[in-house]
Amino acid sequence: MISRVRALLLLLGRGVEHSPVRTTLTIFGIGIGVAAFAAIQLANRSVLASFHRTIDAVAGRSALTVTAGEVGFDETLLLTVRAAKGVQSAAPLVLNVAPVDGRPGEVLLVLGVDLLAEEAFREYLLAGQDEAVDLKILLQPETLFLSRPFATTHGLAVGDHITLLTGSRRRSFTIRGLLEPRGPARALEGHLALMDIATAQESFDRIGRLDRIDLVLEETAGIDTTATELAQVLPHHLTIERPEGRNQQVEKMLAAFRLNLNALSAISLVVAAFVIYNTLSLSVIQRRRQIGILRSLGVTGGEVAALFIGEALVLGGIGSLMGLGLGYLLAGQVLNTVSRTISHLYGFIRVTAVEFDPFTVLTAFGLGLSSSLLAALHPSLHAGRLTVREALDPGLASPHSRRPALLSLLGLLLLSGAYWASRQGAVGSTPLFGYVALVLLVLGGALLTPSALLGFSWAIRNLGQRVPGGTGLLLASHLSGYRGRHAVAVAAMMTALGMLIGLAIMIGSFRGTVEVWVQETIRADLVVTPASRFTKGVRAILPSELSDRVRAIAGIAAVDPFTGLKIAFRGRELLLAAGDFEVVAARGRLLFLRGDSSAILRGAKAQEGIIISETVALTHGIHSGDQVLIHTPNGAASFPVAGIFYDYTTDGGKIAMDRSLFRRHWGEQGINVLAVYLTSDADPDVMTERIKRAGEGAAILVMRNQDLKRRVLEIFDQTFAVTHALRIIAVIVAALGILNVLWASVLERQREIGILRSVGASRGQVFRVVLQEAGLLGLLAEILGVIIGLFLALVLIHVINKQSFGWSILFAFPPTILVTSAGLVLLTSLLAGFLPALYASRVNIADAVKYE
Amino acid sequence: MRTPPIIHLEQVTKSYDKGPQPILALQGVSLEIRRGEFVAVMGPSGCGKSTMLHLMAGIDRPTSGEIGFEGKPFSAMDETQLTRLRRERVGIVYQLYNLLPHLTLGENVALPLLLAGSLLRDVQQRVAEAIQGLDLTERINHWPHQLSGGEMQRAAVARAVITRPSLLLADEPTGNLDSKAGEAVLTLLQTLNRQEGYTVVLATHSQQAASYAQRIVHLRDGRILE
Ligand SMILES: Nc1ncnc2c1ncn2[C@@H]1O[C@H](COP(=O)(O)OP(=O)(O)O)[C@@H](O)[C@H]1O
Ligand SMILES: [Mg+2]
Repeated sequence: MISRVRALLLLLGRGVEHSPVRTTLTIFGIGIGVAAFAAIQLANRSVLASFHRTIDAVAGRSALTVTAGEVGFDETLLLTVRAAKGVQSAAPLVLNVAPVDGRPGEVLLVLGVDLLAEEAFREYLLAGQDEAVDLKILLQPETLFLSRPFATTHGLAVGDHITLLTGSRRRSFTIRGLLEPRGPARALEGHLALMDIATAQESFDRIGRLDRIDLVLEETAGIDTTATELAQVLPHHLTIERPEGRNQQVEKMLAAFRLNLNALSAISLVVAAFVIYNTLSLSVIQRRRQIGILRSLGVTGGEVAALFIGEALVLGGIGSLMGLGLGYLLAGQVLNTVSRTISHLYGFIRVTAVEFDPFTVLTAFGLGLSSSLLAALHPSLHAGRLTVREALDPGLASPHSRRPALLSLLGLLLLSGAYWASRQGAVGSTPLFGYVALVLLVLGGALLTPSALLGFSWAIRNLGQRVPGGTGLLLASHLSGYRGRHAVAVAAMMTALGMLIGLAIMIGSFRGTVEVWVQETIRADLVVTPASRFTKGVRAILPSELSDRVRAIAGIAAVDPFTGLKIAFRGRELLLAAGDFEVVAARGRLLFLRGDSSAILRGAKAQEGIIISETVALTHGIHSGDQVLIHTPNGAASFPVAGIFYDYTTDGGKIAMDRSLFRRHWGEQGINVLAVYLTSDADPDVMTERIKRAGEGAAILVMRNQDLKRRVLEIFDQTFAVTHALRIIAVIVAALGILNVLWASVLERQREIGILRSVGASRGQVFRVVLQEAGLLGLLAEILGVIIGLFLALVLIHVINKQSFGWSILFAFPPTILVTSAGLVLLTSLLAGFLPALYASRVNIADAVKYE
Repeated sequence: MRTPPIIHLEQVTKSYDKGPQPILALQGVSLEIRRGEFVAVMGPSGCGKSTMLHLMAGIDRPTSGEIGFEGKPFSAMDETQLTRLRRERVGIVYQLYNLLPHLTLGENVALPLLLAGSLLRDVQQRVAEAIQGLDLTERINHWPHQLSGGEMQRAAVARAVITRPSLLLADEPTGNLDSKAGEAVLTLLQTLNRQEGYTVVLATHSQQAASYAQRIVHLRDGRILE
């Protein structure tokens, strides 16, 4: 028994020893899959954790919070809240995000707090002191506390001044104390400043307004009953929730974005599984004789199968460990791109370090191991089923034992399944069936590869008969003879390529659509914004007089003041936008699903209606002509929907109305953006200067039409920067797949090569056959990858994006993708084929033909 | 009358140094084989027969000594020239698995012509002629794994002579065949020698097989017994 185990282990060791290259490649394959998965997941988790930490840190000990989107609410409501049953104490908050002047990209979360109420909620610790901070120092005007890490990074000390962009103004504050990174000072990774609530209200033009009230309840009071109690006494546009609710909202907001990343990381694992499957099948073939000897010595089939599964687990384990290390390193890179994208799309976030997350690490390791196991199952069972005779006599290794017809049938079945899944609706707002369709598409395509190879080799056999040299025939015979194994490599490459091409088509189509949309809808000649506007999450308002002043400038034909407010609508956040519909109707343009822009806008204004973005229409099932109820600070109001317009921003959708209607319900909220239309003879440069002068030194930006368009596309491109990682994965997989397959088949074909050389094949001919084989495998993978990619793109565009974001994307096939991907694949294949080809051409004939 | 030797070995030594101690597979072997001869190299397993045939085919090089083909020394030929030699002047048959598993019998036989630059459809006729009388005509489109051992070896012989080489080397061609199939292959070699004038070198451990040859060279431990 012991000796049998030893014999088995010896065989295992031999396998590794005899094919170090292939063993290394397998470990690498698994490693890369796991690394990609771990990197993306770790980055994801770090971002989410950072969001949560900020929310939790600021929430402190409160059991309930009262908020009202960006509108905020009147501070007199604080009295109502305090008087409510069950409320022990209530702390008002003014929350603002302010860019730091002179330090581009740096942002502070500014907390305006009521010093008297704070103690029960949050604890602050001043640097250099042991006891809690005496918040009274903050009562001095223009004063703030700064978190110590931020001050240290920027070389600031107590007594120094710091200038913040508060809306369109610059304001200087004196630093009166440094906060230890504890409690709220941990928010936004230490990018925090603390002010007295009055200072904050004044600085940010929020006099008399609050953003939030935090509540601590009496011990006997139930959270839910108190919440119900409050809902009855407070206006409807206020949201009462537990602090966790905010976390859930963040998760919801990021869900769609994260799903795309998750899909990416899942694909890398699938591809890794292909590589493992491939390697193990080969390792079984290569060790037939050893298996035969073991079986004849009385080792059972089950033990043989267990041996190969064991080998897979060992390789999978080593590869996964390596992948974790690599993934951790990669995560830093991914984190940068991800947090930049999120900052652009959803709100400012500062994530500096990848967090070690044991759950992610364990998951990645487990997935690496289980995909190794899954991939090993078939080849291992095959090894176990080999009879002694089959194993010992290579002549019995029937080369045509695979059943391509059966596999193809199964493949077609899966493809029909994919079609069915792509016709299903979203589950919640998650395109679950869309992802099922993607997976079925890839698997179905993979199962068709043996048939495709057969057809391909048939074509080459026919073609090869017309080309002298015999290599065509040899190539065709290899392709069909070893199609079982080649199919795996082609399938792996096809998957990676298909994903690459599918994403490229989707992104290309998306970009094309956005370009048209930008071209059609950004009509203003100049756009005036507060300098802080482009930091997401900053509520920046232009000086109130600016609009009238600009309108009065000679050469300016019309001005459309735009206000955007985040409000809660049917449990989700969206952007409520107000503009001058008459100006937009006359000079600007929106793209509506149906109907003429000017007519709809004028109609909306006349009937006091709203227009909604496609996303809102899809998420909430609203149609043109419906009445929609919105909670305004003055109570609920109902608005008719005059039209649905295309919109490709990620604010969770938009509802727009004319300014006058907006002002009636929401009051004067300030202007965020001025769209300026010039007379035909006005010079934009001159006008820019005049507008800046009208701003009287306010921190405003004047952008030209084409600058804004460029900016929008820049943000778009950045959003998809993450997917570039996939390109690299695809290339590596293609290379690994080909290298692995060819290396193994060259090793296995030594004898054939020896015979070939004996009957007069030159080194060059042998070299060419192997290299051409590599090229042809690449070519086939490319052809299949393009077909699969096309369908993947259709699913991505019409199912996944539509269901998760509500965007209509016009499908466009970029012909360049054919050229670039084909070039990439051929180059990679030939490079990967080079070493095996060289090896094959140098095979020692005498050794190769020896029969042992 | 002495015809000039088609191949000659002069003090040829071959040693393998890969293992713990060097193995001397051939030690100072000198031999001349003349055009039209049928020579059997006979000896027990491990005596160096295969090594000798490999050296004659130019698929391996001697450690010392010289081998010449029609007077031209191998040491003066590079890999390309040796490849040409194998393609045009020397045919080889091994003990087992001579046929490429993913080509049909016909394609296997045609292979040397294809490698030399011919198109398959142009050589069909020649292949058909080559296997005529070998009882293989019906098997021309079969895969190797569908053939019997005797059929495979006969096809290998047909392939070895399809380019009409000067020298036919057969290394234990009957080693894995039953006696009836073995006899058929040996008779085939004899016919090729007698009727078509091929020079044949047969390596074998069997006295019975060697008896088909005109001359027998006995090999023991890498030396020729006189
Ligand atoms: N590649 C090699 N490496 C090491 N030793 C070898 C090699 N090839 C043959 N030998 C040894 O050389 C001797 C002669 O082998 P071989 O020519 O195959 O004999 P035969 O064909 O007569 O059985 C044997 O002892 C064999 O073990
Ligand atoms: Mg031998």
